[in-house]
Amino acid sequence: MSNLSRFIALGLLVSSTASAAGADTPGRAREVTPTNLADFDNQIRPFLAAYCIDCHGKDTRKAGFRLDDIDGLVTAGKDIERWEKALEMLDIGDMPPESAGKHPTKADRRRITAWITDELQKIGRGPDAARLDRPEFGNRVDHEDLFSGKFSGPAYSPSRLWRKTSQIHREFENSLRLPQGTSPFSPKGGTGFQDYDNLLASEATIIAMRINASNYAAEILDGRLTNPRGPDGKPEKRGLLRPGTSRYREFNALREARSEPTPEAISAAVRRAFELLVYRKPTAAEATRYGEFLRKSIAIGGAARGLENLLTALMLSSEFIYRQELGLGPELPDGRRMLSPPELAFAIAYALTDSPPDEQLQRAVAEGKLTSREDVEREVRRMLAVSTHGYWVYEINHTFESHREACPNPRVLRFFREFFGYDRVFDVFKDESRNPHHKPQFLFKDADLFVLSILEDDKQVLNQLLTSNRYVVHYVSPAKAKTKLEQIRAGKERNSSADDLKRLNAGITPVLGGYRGGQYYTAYGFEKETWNYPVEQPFPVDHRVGMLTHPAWLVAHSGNFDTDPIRRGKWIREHLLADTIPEIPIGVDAALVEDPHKTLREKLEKTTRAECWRCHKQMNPLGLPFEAYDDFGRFQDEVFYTVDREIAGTFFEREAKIKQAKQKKQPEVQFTTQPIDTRGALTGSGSAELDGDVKDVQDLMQRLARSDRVRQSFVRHAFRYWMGRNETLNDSPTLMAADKAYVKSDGSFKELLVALLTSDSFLMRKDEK
Amino acid sequence: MTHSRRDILKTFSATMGGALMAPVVRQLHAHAAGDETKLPKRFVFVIRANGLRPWGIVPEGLEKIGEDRHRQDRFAEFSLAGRKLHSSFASLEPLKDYVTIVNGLSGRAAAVSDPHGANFGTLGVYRSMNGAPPAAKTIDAALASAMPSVFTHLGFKMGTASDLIAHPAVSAAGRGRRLPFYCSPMLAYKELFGSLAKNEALQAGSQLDRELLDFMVDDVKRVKQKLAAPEKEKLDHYLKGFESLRDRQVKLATLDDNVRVHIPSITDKYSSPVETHRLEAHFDLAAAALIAGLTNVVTFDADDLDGHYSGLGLGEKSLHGIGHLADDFKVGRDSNFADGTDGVGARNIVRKFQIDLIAGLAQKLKAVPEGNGTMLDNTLIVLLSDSGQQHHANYQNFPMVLVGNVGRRFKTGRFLNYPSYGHDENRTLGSFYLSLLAAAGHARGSFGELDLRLPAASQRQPLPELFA
Repeated sequence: MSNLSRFIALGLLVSSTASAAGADTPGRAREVTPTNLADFDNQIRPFLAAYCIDCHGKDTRKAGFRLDDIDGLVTAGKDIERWEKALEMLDIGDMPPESAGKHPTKADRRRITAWITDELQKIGRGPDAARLDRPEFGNRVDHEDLFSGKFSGPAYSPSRLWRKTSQIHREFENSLRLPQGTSPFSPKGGTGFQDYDNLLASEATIIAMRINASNYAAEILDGRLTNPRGPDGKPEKRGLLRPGTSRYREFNALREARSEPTPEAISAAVRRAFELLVYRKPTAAEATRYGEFLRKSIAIGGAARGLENLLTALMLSSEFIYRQELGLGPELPDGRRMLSPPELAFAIAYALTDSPPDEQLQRAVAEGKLTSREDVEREVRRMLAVSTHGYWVYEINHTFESHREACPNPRVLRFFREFFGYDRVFDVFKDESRNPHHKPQFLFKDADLFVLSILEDDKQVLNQLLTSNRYVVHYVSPAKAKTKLEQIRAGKERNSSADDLKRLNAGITPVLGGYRGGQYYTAYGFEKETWNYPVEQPFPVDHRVGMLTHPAWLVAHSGNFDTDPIRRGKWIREHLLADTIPEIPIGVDAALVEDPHKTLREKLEKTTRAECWRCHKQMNPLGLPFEAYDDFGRFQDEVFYTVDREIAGTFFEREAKIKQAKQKKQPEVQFTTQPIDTRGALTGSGSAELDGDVKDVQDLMQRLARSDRVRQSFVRHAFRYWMGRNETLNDSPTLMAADKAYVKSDGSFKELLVALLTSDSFLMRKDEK
Repeated sequence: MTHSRRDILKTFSATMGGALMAPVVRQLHAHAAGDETKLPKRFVFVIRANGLRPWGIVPEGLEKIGEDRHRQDRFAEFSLAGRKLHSSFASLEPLKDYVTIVNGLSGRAAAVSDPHGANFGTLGVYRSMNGAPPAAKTIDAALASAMPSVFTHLGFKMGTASDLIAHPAVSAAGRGRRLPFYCSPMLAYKELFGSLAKNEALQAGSQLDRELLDFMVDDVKRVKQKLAAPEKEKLDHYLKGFESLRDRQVKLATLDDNVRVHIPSITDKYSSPVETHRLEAHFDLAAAALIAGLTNVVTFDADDLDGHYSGLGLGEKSLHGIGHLADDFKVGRDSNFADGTDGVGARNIVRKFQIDLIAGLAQKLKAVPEGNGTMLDNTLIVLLSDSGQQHHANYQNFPMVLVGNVGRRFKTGRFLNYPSYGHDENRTLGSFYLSLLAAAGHARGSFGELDLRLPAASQRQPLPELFA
């Protein structure tokens, strides 16, 4: 740790060159300036007349909405709801509809939305300005504009504090072998990227951290857990300490002192605490201030509790809670500043991992070799050249949740989890009686390995992710597979049966994945009795085409009892087609009819009513091809009906009924079937060639994979994840360069990542007003 | 009874461990001045999972009236006097005059596709998907901020034995701001009463805490000076956290020694591995905190679907499993408990446990005179489920049990049956929450989202039927 602290001794916060302390403007009550009716008459009324009133006039009133009688006095407040509605429709480009004869220019549209927004904000209404910072609003920036080449930046991120993640906090605990505490950061929750720079620390952070701190202090100061087993399962090798003794002599010295602590002992303890917790040495001023605090605390509560107070104070400091990216490098004429070398080291480290800078990064800072774009590129490439083999062979057990980050460069894998959203597979509750084999953690791991196997090749990564059927299912390493096979032959494999040997002799490799998975692989259509387990993985799996047909993704985007074509369509629209779907309007009854005789496609008929279809036409046709899988992700090409013409439950339930009838020697259970309709349609791909009706999920995925817009949408999401914010038009050069790097390298994700992490958006900071 | 409140507190401390009282001073002053309206109003929300079934809460003889399938087309009111409450409500019989049973309020504005609960929507009346951050303030937070106290809002969650603090999807102070809930009774005890103990070690601890908070306020301010505006704002938020904790400390430290009574004694329940014991400890802590005037609003996240009721002999199945047992509503698929307990039986056991806790809390409040009545007269306890009337919710009916009358503003001792969803006269959770705000003296014109299928006007009104 001491190395690390040395190089950051420059101090991240010490320098105040970065941000001029602006004088606080005292808040003054804002008087509402009433709407200038001349503006309304000159600009807005003609716009409404030209584009809206035809359908929303006195007589037409489409969707029960009229605008012909609206007066321009927005600030009077009587038409707030209508103005808000109009604003939303214009903002997401939903109105006027495509079918309308004429459309406003983008500039017109922007002018009008800005006017309405301003007027609404005068009276405290209208959209919350901060919402555009949230990931779900990322697509509001016009896609064509971003990739038009018309915007030349310069790109930068705002100088910022970026709240650390729960994962960084866990890593901190692991690195010091601290007992696991409560995460001090309340989760963002919801779908989408979890780690954005607009997240805040709050009172809950303080409460949690104070609880944690006293437990941590027990370890740091008393060494209670000094010799526990590490993550490798082996006990700490260094010498045993006697209880009540710290690993750190500076702390022991204070506790053993018989009289008032000397200034030297105090400052040594403060220095040690800084190095341990914020990875740097204190400045002289900090040493004095924290020293004084420590002395006072010892006077009140004795050495042990005084020290605990010091550690707690540092763990509550903004530097411990927030990553600091102020841009402490030299200022350019345009006001931007590059991150300083220590800032760069942290930015790179936290871009790829959950740990502070590794030794090489520290050395680069110390030797002055982390100052340029080229230096950053060198370090990023070095860190990306790492094997993930350890994670492949990591065996899932009941503690899998806490080991989800066991992959090197965990943030890279986490991007794919959060982009595709298959990490939600844990959140969708499925009744055990409908399929006792369902084990989300195994599907999750399979999906991880599917991603990693594609990243390993690093060619046409997105294309592969969208179309490959080469999955990894219930993986064991070839070496372990070989051993297991030998043991089965010798009748010594602990969890195998005589049947396994029989299968083996018949030329079928029995399932070699760990027994804890049970038969979860039935989700892929494999059966224990007949599956010839592939030792070589990944391997082609029938009826699958990319991540969106992976059981993990399908379950994560399903309901408790049903598939969910709407959510799936929405996902594609927003993640692959860079489009925005308005939230469900309040007052709409979102539930589908309950009718055991109808398929989901039939139930969705309800959404084809005109007022629903305006939004649903953007989702349903994209989601319906996935009806080729049941809500556990198992392939199906037929709907099964009971004799009463009711839908006959899950595969498992049908099998159970058949088995039961057989056991009870009842007449065979009869089902009638009908082929499943998996047709759909693609719109908005940005290419007339690709748009159109699709015959099934294969067709849909192949078309999506060929779309430039889909690729660019993927780049936009990667940008958001690594910059921790939504893109703006200033970031256009960064996005275009990243897209180009990806295309030029035959779809290498590494090259895309290097482009992003060496871009101005990543390296440059500027104070925002 | 002519005891002064102070005397009562002393005897109270002997029986339950007692409580220390600060705002008591304020209340006694209010009393002396004869100004009853200044007495604080208190609200306790008990949120349970798995639905609160109408058949399980209506008084005997009215069972058929409550269920959804017997569609109500008009409002009906029944006095509880002379009627026996449901068998699981035995402990509330002596408090019958304080009880209101409400059936038929809808919450479709909070309906989500996941049938297992409306998350923040239960108390917020807006759509809140599973796992999503809250969109706006919930009613408990709204009441709490209107009636601030040392602890503006106190949350307790059953949780697991190793949980300390959690942020369940129940209460929110605003968009994205989940409120914390104590899972560990020990931790709650320390935070609520730690600084008030006479114990020297604890006192030194609280002095250290004060030093720490002062230091942090100073430290964060220093850092803030060096930042540009947007980050400044971010740190302001953090700073406010320290300041509110420090203010709390100061308020706790200035409590009048004369009204300081012993704090609840820690029992085995505080660290029991049995979840029901910890919930009992939570109710003890809540009673003490309310009586001490440390808070005016408490929310219990009484159980969740992953949890077990091993303390009630139902440990064999999770609560979710119990929800899938057949009862007369025929949602179930799972088999009964090994001892034959079925869905109806298991639900009765859980409900009785929760009603007993509520009755216990109400009795403690009733034992403390306040103004011309007791603390219970200025309190309202609300029991409801985040999935309304059943395990798989349609969010069309949120049955509830109320105990207390909010300064005698509510007329009690009744069963109120509102017209079913679909009728124009159907009323909503939003209206109910408006009633609470009005009763607390903070009336307003809307809370949460409107259900556009129902007339808007009535949704912007409190429920007149509740009021005296």
